[in-house]
Amino acid sequence: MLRSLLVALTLLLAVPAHALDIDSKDVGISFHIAHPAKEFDCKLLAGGGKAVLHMDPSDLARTGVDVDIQVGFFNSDNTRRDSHMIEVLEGLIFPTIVWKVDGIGGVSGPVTVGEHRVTAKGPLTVHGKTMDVEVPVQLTIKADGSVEANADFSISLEAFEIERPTLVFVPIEDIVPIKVRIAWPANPALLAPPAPEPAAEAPEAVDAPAETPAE
Amino acid sequence: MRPLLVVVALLLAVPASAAELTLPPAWRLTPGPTLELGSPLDVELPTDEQADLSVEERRAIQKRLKLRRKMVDAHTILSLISAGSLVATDIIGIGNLGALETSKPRRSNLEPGLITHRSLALLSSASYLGAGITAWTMPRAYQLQQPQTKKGKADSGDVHVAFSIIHGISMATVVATGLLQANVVTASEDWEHVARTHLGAGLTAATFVIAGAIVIVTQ
Repeated sequence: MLRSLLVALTLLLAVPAHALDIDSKDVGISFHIAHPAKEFDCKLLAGGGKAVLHMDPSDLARTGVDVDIQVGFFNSDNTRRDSHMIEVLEGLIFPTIVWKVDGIGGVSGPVTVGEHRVTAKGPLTVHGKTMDVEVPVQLTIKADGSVEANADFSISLEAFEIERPTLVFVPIEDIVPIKVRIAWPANPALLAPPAPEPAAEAPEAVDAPAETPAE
Repeated sequence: MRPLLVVVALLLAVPASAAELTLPPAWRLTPGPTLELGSPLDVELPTDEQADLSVEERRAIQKRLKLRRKMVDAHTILSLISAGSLVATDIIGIGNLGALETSKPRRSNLEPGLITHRSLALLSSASYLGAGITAWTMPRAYQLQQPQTKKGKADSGDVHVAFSIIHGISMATVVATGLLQANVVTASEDWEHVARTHLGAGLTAATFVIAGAIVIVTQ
């Protein structure tokens, strides 16, 4: 019992006091495939991704993001090619790509309106293989509290143990450039000024005269 | 002679039986996915039942996709052999036709050219048949998501399949007319008509086999 309470307490303390969780399904991801014979882009279809932003208004550096992407929602406008992609990604066995950003670098202090160039750090799981990645991200925070993240980075297919697909026995390039754009809806609480610390005592001062007549 | 007749019979039989092979039960029974104009027949679309696949079922589909890739490789090799030998057959055949029409060289001296043409025809027919069989029998492609691409837009795979119908008909014609030329209308007035049809069908077959490869590689 005591142990469970301690675990619960630890978890409670681990979460920042003012952290906000904001869900988004506005996840846009595309990657570029290069082969000596042709090049094409593959995009994530609507509904194929979701991202939960964990943001502490008092400390931007404590921002975290959980991104879940459905492998089957990638589309290159070619059904057989997409099927081939599912095969090499083993999309039926590893149907999701997970990116868990557990910290960002390059910023400090409270959340402010404007553009922030940050580095998102955290494990990326593709094809059942997890690797820590550091990705430069442009974070745009608007006055209404909406947030947009844009990132351009590359991954190596072989690093994630993905067998490179071939066309006429020539494999595609190992390095795959990826573009990510995630938008979270407006949340004014994100930019709300922190409540003044001694404010908790103020109501007592107000109530005090009211108590006097009762006495 | 007999093996050639068997090849012709098989070539003519493939399109009909292949159509049955390609149409999966899900294609006819599943109301879920909306099929678009230009949807390829060899693509398995997701059904409501497939949304809840067990691990074993997922592994089985994955295995089928792996087999598909191996068969695509086999299809590619056989198609390349077929394309190369078809072009060579056409070149030798055009040379032979010219020689027969101008009598330079004489018919009696044309035997090596005819043997080469027939050997190459046999090679191209056999490799073409093999490529066709691997294409028709390979497990269908798989889509996890509902189709959301532009309606009516054909992709390179659809064009490749459309071209295969053209070169399939051409190949059947070229084999049939080749056999007629060599065995039935050898000395009749119809020989020239049959020879022209044979030439046209041979060139069409080679063109569309190559075009089918080009569309896959470049689009």
